[in-house]
Amino acid sequence: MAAPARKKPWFAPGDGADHLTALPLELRAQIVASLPFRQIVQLSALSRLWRHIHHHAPVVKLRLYEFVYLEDYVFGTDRSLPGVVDEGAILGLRLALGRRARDGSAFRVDTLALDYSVADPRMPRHAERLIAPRSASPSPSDLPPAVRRLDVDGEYHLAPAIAGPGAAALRRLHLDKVSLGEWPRLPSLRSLALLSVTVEAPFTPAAWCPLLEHLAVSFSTVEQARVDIRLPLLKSLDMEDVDVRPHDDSFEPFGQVTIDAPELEELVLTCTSGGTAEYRSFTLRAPRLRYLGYHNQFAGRVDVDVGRPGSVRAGSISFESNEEIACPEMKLCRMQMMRMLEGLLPELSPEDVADAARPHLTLDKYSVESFDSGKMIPEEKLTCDLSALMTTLKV
Amino acid sequence: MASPAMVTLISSDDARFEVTEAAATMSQTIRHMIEDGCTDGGIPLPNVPARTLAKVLEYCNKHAAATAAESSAAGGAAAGSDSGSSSSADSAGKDDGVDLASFDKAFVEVDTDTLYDLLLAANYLDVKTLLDLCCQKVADMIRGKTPEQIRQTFGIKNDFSPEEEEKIRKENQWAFE
Repeated sequence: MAAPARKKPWFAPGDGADHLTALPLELRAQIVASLPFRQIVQLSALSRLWRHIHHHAPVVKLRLYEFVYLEDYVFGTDRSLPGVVDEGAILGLRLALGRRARDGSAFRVDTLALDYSVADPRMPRHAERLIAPRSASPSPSDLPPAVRRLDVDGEYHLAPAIAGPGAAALRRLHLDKVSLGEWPRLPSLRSLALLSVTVEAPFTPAAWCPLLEHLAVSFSTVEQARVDIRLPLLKSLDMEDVDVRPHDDSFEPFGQVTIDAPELEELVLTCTSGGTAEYRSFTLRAPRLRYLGYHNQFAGRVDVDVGRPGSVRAGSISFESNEEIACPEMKLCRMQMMRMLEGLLPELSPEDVADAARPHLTLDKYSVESFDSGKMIPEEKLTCDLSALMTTLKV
Repeated sequence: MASPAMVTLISSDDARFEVTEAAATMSQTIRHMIEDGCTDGGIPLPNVPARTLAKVLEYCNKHAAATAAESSAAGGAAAGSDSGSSSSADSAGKDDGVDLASFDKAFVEVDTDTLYDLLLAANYLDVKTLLDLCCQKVADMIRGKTPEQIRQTFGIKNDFSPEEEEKIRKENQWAFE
């Protein structure tokens, strides 16, 4: 594997630096970007040319769970402490970030990734302070203006507040396992991903990030009666296993989902966790939609308006149904599918839509293992291949 | 695809490489040169020796071919194939993904000198995915090691006095505990 002729260490001429150190600072900063910030700080002790590498890494990954010792100290069955936070170490980290913020030759922080997967109610406060390295800041949650992307993993705690002039410049936000009590105002945000997030605030993204272009919500719960996605610049929307219901313990009524997005090109709505996401109504207006992936989402009322006939060129609509999981019977699924197809092909009569779709509908019958009894139970899956349908129609 | 457009690249040591335009334009630097029309008599790359250029082109050929295969397998029908739909074209694309991932992994299993040469070439030629791949490989060699272990791995000379190093560690004691 090694080339014998070049095995000896390669010293750059003149300064005596090794090969790694001889790389341009930009490249070294890019190399260390995937390391946790703690280790990048350790690299500052390597040699003089590495002295301020932690001021140059474009990504700052902070893992707050590393600042907890004596985790899960249990007093008894009903009383336990979630560990002890090393406040001194966190202060040291904040001071280090503060020095970076004041260093005129430091590089911009492109991404601040904050992971505080620790069962500790004090962590959101620490997270908010870390988002704001300037300790003298009047607001505890001023994102440093240079950060363009923020990733937060919160182990089911309240998301940190994100505010200040830095928040105004934030382009990408990824929230993982947090609760959103209120939406941050992010006027420049282009991309938002929510994974395992409980949204307690009204789901109206237009009010707090009007320039959003990409929205992905998965395995999340919206504790509201409705989801209103009315975004003028939205290009892609991906919703996977999103529950919409007013309260955690109520099963009825299901929420209303409205998507009004004039620039939307790609829409994927799926339910993969075995079962069907049910909404009281599903309203879609997307005149530029090209791709529709719709899987196991049942809505009492469906209203699909994609403007131009045949503008959707690819994708599929499918429903699964079996006796065990709570899902509508196949007859209702087929009715909803036809209503959606009529919305996609507004120039055809319902009869013509049914005729055109028939060759591209498949009904698969097979068995799946029951969740509890272990028995095999029959399941049906109805699929419409939109790509094939639209190709044959040539509309 | 009877005769794909070809371009000639010339390394710093005057070796000539004939490659498809699809492979060559994975490099943004070369793409701009082609767009500016400076391709007559070959494109000179004065910063890249033949040995490194051959390796970079091995990467570009593999990835350009995989991209072409993916788009022809999808037939232009599954426009949103990266968004998690489940058509047969997608599964073909996934196989390619697995194949490419193992190619990439093997590709950077090289001695460190070659790795640095690739890094510099990928940076100069602006092949982002290759640059990311090389950076990741070096980062993985650093990850989890103490500063002293890293110095040994990469032959980095410690030019701090013991007092200076002690001061640096004190300044960020939280990171060294």
